[in-house]
Amino acid sequence: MLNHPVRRRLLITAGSLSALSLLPARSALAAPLTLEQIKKSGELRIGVEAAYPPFTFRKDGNIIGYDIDLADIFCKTLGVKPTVIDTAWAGVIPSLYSGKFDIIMSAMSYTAERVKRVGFSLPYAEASQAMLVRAGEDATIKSPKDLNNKVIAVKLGSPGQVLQAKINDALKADGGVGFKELKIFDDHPAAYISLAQSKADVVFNTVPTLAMVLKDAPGKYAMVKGIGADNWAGIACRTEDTEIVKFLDSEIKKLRSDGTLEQLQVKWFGFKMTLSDSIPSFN
Amino acid sequence: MDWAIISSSMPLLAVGLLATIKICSLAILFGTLLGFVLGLGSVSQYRPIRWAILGYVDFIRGTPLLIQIFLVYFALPVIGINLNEYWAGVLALSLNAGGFICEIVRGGINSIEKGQTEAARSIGMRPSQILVYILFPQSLRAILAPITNELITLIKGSALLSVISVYELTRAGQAIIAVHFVPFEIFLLIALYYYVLITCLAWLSRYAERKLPTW
Repeated sequence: MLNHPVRRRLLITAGSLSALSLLPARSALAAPLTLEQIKKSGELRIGVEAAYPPFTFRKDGNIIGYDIDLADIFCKTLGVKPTVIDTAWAGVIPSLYSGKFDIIMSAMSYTAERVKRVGFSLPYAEASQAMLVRAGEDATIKSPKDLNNKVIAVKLGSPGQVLQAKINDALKADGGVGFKELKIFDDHPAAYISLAQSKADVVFNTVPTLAMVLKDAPGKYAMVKGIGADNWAGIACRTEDTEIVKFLDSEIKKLRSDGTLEQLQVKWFGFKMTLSDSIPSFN
Repeated sequence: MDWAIISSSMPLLAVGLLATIKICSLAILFGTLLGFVLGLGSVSQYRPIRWAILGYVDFIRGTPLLIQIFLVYFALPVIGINLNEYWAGVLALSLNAGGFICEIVRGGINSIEKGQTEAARSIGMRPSQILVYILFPQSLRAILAPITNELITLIKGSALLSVISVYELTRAGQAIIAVHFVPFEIFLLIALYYYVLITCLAWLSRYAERKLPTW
């Protein structure tokens, strides 16, 4: 217990000092976290945003989901107890670096910006982007090309926020007018409601999560797939914590080969996912 | 400190600041008007009016602003009033400020010495005339400072509008942080923008206070 908090405090001080003294590096002074330290502290602290069913969400007040089941398995291997910390998504990476938790397990998909900023594990879930529209409107909105003059809703800090800019630029490059408006919400459920209330026409999110939305609200929405490249989600660590990443990679490989991961996918999503064997590159 | 991010963010944040100023100006106008009307109504001699206003003020003071914003944006559409996030924001902030300003006005009017009312009555003024020409003008100077406080709270409360996707100052900053992961620089900058905006309002209020007559 002792090693952990002390290291954190040092890290925070180092971070704010470097900011004040205009040093470019943010956490260069911090020593990497080791598996030994985690075992000694008796807990693995996991940052999630519990508003993202079926990955992490609250049911009857408890945080459950695919990510949480998986975290339990990792913690069992380490012989520690999982401590799940619910946080706002937009602040999840800064919180990781200020030492509020050790890893992020919240269906974080690979993006060019994130790959630069965090140490990612191998993929453990599918995370290709898709569009959610009102039921019946999938007849007119069939691809991103049909988004001229539409109101787009995304979640703050989601890959959809990055994707929408690319799509909008492509629309304009094709001589279109581009989106009518972009609305940025704090979480996806708020975006879904605004879609149902006709305040937005399209919401971007990943295929597995949107499949869950269709299941939970039958007849209300429709999904349009096949936008952008295939993508996956990984577990994010601080870049210097390479030992943790290595551990997570070996765990994911093990769970994939013994079928545990597929069992969990069927339990939470109702289907088996196709996972890539490596982190996608963004060049 | 990432100076490149700061200089590239300043114009982006300025767009958000402009939205904050626009929404807050409208909400200050409507909220103050509503507050004055309700405040004058709350010292009315008609009991149903007083009770209705009391109920309204109780609701506004008894519920969080965040919930009021959600109610206006997500719940009103259920009964057929579907406002976009801009007007939902203006409405929520105005209704909220109106409730608080009502109480400030009521307190101000009640604090005017009883002799004023008696003197006005003795020269034959009607109750509504006494309120409008005698009591209200005398209370203005006293209520200006607390009203300024309330309007400052309104500006700070406008940050909550980000949750219904209003692209105001706070949301503009969050959008930058979400992509570039620079919370320290951007939040500091946002704080500075709010500070300048609120200081301007405070100056304006002091100026108005000096211009008001003393008794």
